[in-house]
Amino acid sequence: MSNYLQDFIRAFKPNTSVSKMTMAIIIVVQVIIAMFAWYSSSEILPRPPEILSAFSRLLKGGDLIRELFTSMGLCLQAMGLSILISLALSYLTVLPFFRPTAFIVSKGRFLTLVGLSFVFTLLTSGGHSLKVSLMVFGITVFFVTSAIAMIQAIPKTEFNHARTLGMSEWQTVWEVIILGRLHEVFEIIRQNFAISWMMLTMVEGISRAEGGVGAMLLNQNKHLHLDAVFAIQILILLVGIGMDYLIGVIKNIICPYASLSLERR
Amino acid sequence: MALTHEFKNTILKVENVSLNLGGNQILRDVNVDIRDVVRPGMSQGQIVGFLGPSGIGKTKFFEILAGLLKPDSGQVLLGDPLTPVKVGRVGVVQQSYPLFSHRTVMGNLMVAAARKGMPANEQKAKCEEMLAHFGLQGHANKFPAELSGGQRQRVAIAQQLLCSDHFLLLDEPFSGLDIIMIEKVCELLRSIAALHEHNTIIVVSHDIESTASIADTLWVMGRDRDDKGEIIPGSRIKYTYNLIERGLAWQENVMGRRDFHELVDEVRGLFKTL
Ligand SMILES: Nc1ncnc2c1ncn2[C@@H]1O[C@H](COP(=O)(O)OP(=O)(O)OP(=O)(O)O)[C@@H](O)[C@H]1O
Ligand SMILES: [Mg+2]
Repeated sequence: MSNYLQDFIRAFKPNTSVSKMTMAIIIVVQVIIAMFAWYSSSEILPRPPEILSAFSRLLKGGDLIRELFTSMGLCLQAMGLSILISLALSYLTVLPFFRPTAFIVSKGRFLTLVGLSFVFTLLTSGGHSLKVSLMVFGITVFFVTSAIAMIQAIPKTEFNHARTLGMSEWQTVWEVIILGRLHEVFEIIRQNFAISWMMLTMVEGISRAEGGVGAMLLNQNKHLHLDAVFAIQILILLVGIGMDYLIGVIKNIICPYASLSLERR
Repeated sequence: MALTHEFKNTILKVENVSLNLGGNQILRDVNVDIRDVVRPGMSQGQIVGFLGPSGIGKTKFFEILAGLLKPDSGQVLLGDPLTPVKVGRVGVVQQSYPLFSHRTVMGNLMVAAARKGMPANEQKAKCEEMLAHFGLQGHANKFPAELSGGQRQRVAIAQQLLCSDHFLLLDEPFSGLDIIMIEKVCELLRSIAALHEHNTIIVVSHDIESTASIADTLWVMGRDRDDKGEIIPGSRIKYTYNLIERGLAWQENVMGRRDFHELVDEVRGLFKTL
């Protein structure tokens, strides 16, 4: 028993870790506190049982799963395109010629989607391509910013090391920037997936023809079905967390070296 | 008791190298001439030490020797015949022992071996030979983050040896190592020098004792002072010690000898004036 107590006290010391058991207890306690807060909050907020019943209602009648797949497809397509465009543009900043373009693109993150959606509607044929291009734009500006920062943070000794092995400048780019920083690219993908997941519902609201969880959410919102809104939100949250975890797992498989020198593994 | 030896062709020549950084003169007219030392009946390379107190410009000079940094004037020539240095031609072990952290120890060696353009099956054999030579057999599949400082240094040296011919430059190879490890590194460097007549190891360091124990020539870098005793910016080679003539090169247990310690004390005394 005193072991547990000691372990629990350790949870309040900086830069330490606790056993799995203690962590589990801490999690349970925090969930209980959250539940207590939830139940003691305003009456307007739906409670877990209501949300659960709304959820099963949506599953049966509302095609929740189909809408989720529609949204997921859109998200993955936009994410894939954004990764290709952003990485290409960021890696190309090793050439001075491409630096101004990349610089302007990264500054695009200060633009608002609301104003842009009008321009994009004119530029695209609307519908699916409008949604994809809005999302790609929205993700790319953040992705390029992080990727450029990542490249610029590589210390000179790493480049020099590759050069001392007789590598050409292009081989140095491949070894030091592309291979050597792959694990950081995964982290950037992870962050930007969260951004894209957040944008998704917004974009689906702009063009509702194809449906998706975003359109569904707005629809339920219009009818003031707060329990359904909560159910969809929680689903979006869980899927987002799941995808985030998945990206982390893929990263650890492809880049096993990345976590070796970390304190908290 | 000078040992029989002969200085042959110049194999590394530094000509009037000067360097300015941010408006400060770091190096001024550095001239060095390293010759191939030949001992009758023996095939042995040479070990040269560049000494100087901290901040004197050793690392910058090292980068110029490696071809990583272009001096403001002057040039570095090496090889036989002498040609201007190009990065990648000399093995370079930097102060921080950089390695590719996304590759295993074996992977790091293989990349270097591939640079030399040898056939694939030969590469593997050569890398394994290196691992054995450096006492790293058990670590082939580890990532650099899983190595100790000393192991890391040995991988960095092995990596450079795989893809350079005859020249190996080391910046502060003794820093951060304990006494036993320093002895091992000294032994390792001696064994590398002994592998080939043209092998030339250049050590840049502020560790006088360790460097002197393996070198056959010492170059001491420092700055001049004007009449008032003020430092004139810009380091140059101020003193040269031929340890072969003093009978202190190629000696077992040289560190136990009185004349060796007198030399070390002499250089240490010089450091205070530089
Ligand atoms: N980028 C720079 N701009 C201006 N001055 C610099 C720059 N880099 C180094 N210096 C200066 O050049 C001098 C030489 O630096 P260097 O790193 O070569 O010293 P060092 O002799 O290797 O020292 P140590 O033994 O501590 O490694 C130092 O006085 C340093 O302040
Ligand atoms: Mg230095």
